[in-house]
Amino acid sequence: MLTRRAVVLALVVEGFVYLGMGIVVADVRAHKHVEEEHGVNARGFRGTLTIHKTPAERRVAIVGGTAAYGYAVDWGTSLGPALQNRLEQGWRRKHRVGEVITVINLAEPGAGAASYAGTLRHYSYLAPDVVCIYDGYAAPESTAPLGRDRSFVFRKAGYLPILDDLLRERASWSVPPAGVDPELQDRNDAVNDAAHNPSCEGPSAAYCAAMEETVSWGLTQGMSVVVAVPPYVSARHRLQQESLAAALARRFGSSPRFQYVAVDGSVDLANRGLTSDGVNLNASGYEAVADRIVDPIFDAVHQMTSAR
Amino acid sequence: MNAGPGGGLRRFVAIAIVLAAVAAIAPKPWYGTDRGTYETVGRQLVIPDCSELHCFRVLIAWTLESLPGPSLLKWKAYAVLANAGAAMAVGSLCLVLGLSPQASIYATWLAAVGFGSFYTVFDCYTSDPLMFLLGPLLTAELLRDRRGRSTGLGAVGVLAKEFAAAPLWIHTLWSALRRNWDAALRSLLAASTVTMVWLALHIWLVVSHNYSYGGSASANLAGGGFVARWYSLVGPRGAASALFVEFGALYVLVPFGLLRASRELRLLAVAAIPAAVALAYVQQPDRALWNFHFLVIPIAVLALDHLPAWCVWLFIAIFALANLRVGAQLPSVPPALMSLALSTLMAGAAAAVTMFKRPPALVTTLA
Repeated sequence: MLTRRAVVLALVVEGFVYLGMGIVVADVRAHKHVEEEHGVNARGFRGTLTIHKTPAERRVAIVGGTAAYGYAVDWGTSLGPALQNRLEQGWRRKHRVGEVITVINLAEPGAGAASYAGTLRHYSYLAPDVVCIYDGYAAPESTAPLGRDRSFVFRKAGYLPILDDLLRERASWSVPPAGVDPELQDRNDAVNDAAHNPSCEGPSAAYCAAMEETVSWGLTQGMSVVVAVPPYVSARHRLQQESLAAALARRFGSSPRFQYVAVDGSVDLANRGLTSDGVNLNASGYEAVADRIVDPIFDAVHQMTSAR
Repeated sequence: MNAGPGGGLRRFVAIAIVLAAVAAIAPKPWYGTDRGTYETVGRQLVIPDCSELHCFRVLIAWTLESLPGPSLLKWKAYAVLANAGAAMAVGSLCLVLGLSPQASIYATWLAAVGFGSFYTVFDCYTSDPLMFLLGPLLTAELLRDRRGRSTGLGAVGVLAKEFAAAPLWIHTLWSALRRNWDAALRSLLAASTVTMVWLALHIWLVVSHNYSYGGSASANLAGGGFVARWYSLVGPRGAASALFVEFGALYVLVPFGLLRASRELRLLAVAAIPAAVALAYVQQPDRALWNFHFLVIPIAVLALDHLPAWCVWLFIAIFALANLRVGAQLPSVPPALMSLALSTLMAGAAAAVTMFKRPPALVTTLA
């Protein structure tokens, strides 16, 4: 039989355990609160969390940085729901009776292309059928300030604690984006200079390699991959993307599961109705992007279904 | 009747036969039950993204669905055996509380043919029968000062349903009301440990497998819990009716039983009030309250056991008849109104006799 002292000690220990459990419960509730707004769900990505994929479900995973995340918009008006609404249009549904298409957004504010393959690897348990790489304007090696990977719990268990960040007002989605990679900003003296041409053979070699690695990883996992290029932010960005398109076509062009699509003219970043700061899109901007990329994504989904 | 160990076994078998017969002839529930959820939980163990409260109640589903045989048969058998065990445990608790062997036999049968027992053999996909068993079992163990065993049983029981922690909290409060602070402290540790196991299970399922309560009214504590939703659905008349049929004539007997009850038993009843209120708030009140039958029945029996035996057995038979209709939903049984009225009248007469004869008060001698 325990002594009275031991009983009190055990109760004190249990008190601390309860405190820890209370913090976990509060953290879970905090996720539920922020995931419909600017924040992330318990697994660290945007939108309501659904782990289990039903047999009839076809899952599209968006990977990218700030542009894909939708820094300036709530979840409901970001790229994920805009794309999903279009994929679920009635005229499309009639071609796939009983099928459900869901879109998950794994993007992280500030993340560069070098992180995309790792992100897909980490979230492979979500079993996406189609990967949509919606790249942004960050440098390839750019990492998300206060990103999810700095959490030991996230790296080991997949759960992202956010309570501490919320209390300190330093959640990753609330940090203003770093802006456009200087390498992509136009420089009058260098834009036509071959040595400074941001091509895959030049300064953008690391970027292109990272994009190729991401595409390659998706294809080897049996997924369809759609590389969607956001609206050009500069002439150098256009040059970089044209070079990337050529590089990707050379390596993956023969694969029926690979597609490349540039949003380009569908969204003009100078149009203040689509973006407030010339870079980050608003709800209308994402609607326009979704309009542009929905067909290739739908084809990719349909292709995956046919392949089964 | 024989109250010895052999008699106990015979009684258990007799009750099991009665309940099995009721289970066999009870109609199939015509409303949506939790069968699908429990079967899936049993087959898959974990259902990622499950948003039903029942997904958290894993123990019975995991156990039964891993056994061979048809699902319905296994669940019916479990309901029969657990309810028979619960009735025996109520009888055993009566003896611990100081009731006579004869009174404990009455209590056993009242528990066996009560609303909760019959209802759960009719709609068997539920953790309730195990809770009906654990209530009296844990309380008797705690009154015998066997906290370790109670903690172990409670810790396993909460994997089936949260009620399994209630007897430990009741005992904690009861010890405090008796100003037995050492016992209260030890029971507090037991109750806290068991509750921690329950909470840990929920947190694990939520964090690892994205479980949620799916907007269940039970989880809406600030918005009136399940009781508010239930009341909005059934209305005042329906609520009063549902609550009355839960214990029926026993409601009439309880106040008079309390007059005879020992201080320990009265304090036990008082200590159970917070748990009863809490559970009635978060669960369907008419069903949640039967969890406390292990206290209601011994108290009610105190207002019965000085009557002639034939009188008490007649009361039990009529009480059973009412519950066959309102609990087991047997359509062939006469309408419950008649049997409820008759048993209530008999309870009133028993109460009057109790007042007139003033039988000696119960003495509870605890270790």
